[in-house]
Amino acid sequence: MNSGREKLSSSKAGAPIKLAIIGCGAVTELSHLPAAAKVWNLQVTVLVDKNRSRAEALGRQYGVPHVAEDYTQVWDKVDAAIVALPHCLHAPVSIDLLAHGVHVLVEKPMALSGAECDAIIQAAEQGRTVLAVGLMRRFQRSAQFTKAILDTDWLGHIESFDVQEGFVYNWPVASDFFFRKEAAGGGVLIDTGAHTLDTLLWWLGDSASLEYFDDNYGGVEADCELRLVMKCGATGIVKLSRTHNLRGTAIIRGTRATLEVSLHSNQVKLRPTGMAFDVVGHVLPDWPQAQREQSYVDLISAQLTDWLNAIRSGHSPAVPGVEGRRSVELIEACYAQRKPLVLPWMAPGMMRSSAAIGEVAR
Amino acid sequence: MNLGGRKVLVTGGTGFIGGRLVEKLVLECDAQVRVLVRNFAHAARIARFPIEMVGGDITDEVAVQKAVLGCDTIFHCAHDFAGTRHQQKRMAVQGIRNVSEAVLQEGVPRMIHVSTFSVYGPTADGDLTESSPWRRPGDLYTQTKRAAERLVLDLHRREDLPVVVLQPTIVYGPFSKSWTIAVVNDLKTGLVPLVNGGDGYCNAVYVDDVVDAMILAATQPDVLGETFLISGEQPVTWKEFYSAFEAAAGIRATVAMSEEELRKASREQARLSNVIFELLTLVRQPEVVSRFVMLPAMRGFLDILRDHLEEERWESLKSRVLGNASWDHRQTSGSIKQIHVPNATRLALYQSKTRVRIDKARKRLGYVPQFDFEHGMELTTRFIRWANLA
Repeated sequence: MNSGREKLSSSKAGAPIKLAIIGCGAVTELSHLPAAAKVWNLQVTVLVDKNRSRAEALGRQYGVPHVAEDYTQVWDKVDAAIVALPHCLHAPVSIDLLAHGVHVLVEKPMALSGAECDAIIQAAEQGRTVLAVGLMRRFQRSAQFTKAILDTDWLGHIESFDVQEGFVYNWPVASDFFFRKEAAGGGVLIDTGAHTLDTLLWWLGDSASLEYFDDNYGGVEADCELRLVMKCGATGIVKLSRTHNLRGTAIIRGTRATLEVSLHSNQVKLRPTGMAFDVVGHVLPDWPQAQREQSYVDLISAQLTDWLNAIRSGHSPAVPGVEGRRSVELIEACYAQRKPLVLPWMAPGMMRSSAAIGEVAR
Repeated sequence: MNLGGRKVLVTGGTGFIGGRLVEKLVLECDAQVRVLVRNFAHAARIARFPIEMVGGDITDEVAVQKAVLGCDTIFHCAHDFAGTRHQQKRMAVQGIRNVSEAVLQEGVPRMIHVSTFSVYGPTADGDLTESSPWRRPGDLYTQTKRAAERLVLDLHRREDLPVVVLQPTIVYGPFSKSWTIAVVNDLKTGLVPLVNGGDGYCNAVYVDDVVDAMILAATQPDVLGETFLISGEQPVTWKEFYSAFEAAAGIRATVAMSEEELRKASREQARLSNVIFELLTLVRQPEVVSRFVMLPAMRGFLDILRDHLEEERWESLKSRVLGNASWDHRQTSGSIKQIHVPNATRLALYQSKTRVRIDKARKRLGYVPQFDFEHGMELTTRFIRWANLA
């Protein structure tokens, strides 16, 4: 069996990288296919889904020449694959592909546990293939700006943070997998939280201790709250929701200044400590024609480009497996020590029985 | 009889009343719950529980048949406010026909149909009971609910359909779109007229009372084929209703108006409104707006508007469109507040001094409302603040 690098170097130099997208759900339709179409020298050659008619319909729409129902039918025909399957399949399918010499970009969350992440990382090493994790928020300019100013100590010593991300859930899911614990691994924490926690850990480093509360009573949580103490000494709260709209920003308070950064746009707000003024604006690149905001598709195509460069150059991608593992490990720790979230309109008696059901469910 | 360990099907379980019913069935009744789900995107709230979700549309006979299979009790809460007149009627009538036929075919012992007190049409002042007449044709909602109710009661008479019909009134509480979220939204985005000072009666009922009545209807003997009005203990005035929401949201936005003043406001609004203005209002979400206004065509259009509108109108438009899109939260001075002029059905509702009687539900179901308006609003206020609605 050829390794990923050998396969690629044996193909014609400068030829497009042949890509399979495995899983044809909403994220593939709305994000991966439009993003791949914007990336230079990348050719989506096959769509894989057990629902063949769904794959064929998307194939027609985006001019993808081949479809298959089983990913094992395509691994010798492509250089790389995006794994966009139910969360529980991220690890087994990624491991299989990487071991067969196919470079992989696996959607977030990387897997359901730290142990599964380790197995994926090991498979990439053994297959000499490039593994990247779909945490494209790291390509948002406001997130990169935040990382840069935290690394350069502009805010001073970081004392606290407050992160809120939530919408009334309306992702056009094609099946119930997002809401089945065995398939999704959890609810809003492992889904939206994979992004939120990834950026937080990227900015501030790993956590030292945590308390975790959610409203799961035997299914998957729709709302949750984390109280974290980071190794850097900062303490803070992360709130996530699928039932109501939350602020959608991270507030990071340092001794010199407080930064509020949007989680979905390039807006930032900076207030120097002791001053009654805010600096509000957008993080812009240094080329004049750039759009103020980046779309979701822009972010994914930026990550695809980074991953393809890594495949071609042999360098590490911006979000390798070890980085994807960090949020999974934190999420796993949260679920292991879940406590019931208080919903303030619920009668105390009901909360008791809810807590009991939650305990049984764990 | 209780529902412990029994298999129940809920249609409309991703909605407001159905969602709360699912919670209570799992947490308080220990029932085995199955929900027929048309759109999984709306299932986040009920997915918190160990329930079975079956994908399918209420108008799909086969899907309904499959969902009903093996159940002891069916709670039919599904209703769709979206779509054309034809679609809404089809869903209401075809949906309940499918459920009823499946119930008869599978020999399910009981079905609870959630109707509405709107079937009575514009109600007369004084007491309203289950034997009050249905007045005037009513709007689309009234018509579809009447058709559904007629259908199940006819099937009860002809084929012994084991149905109990509930007619809740103004149902408010956490996650209510019509009578909580929309109320706060109206207060936030304009002026809410109190017709004739808001002295009409609002027969409000807290959602938990409605759900308790549904569970009673599923378990009490000798109630098949019966219809029950479900409301709170006493009506409040519309002024009291909206004042409670103003207090919850920390907003003063009601204004007393006579019918004549409302008619005038309605005419004025029709003159001022235009499609683009309303479209812009719809896309007030910050992330949408920020991208929307970057579109070249949109920028050109906005430039023309800025050049031709008086400054006050332009500033008003800007503040309405941008909403919270800007992190500069200072109020734009001179913004014009829109009056939420009620339609004819709503106007009649606001004016009527109808007192909904719940004597029959008390006597036959053992229904006793547990939440007076003050208590219900205390819990609803907590939800409004938690959900950042205000």
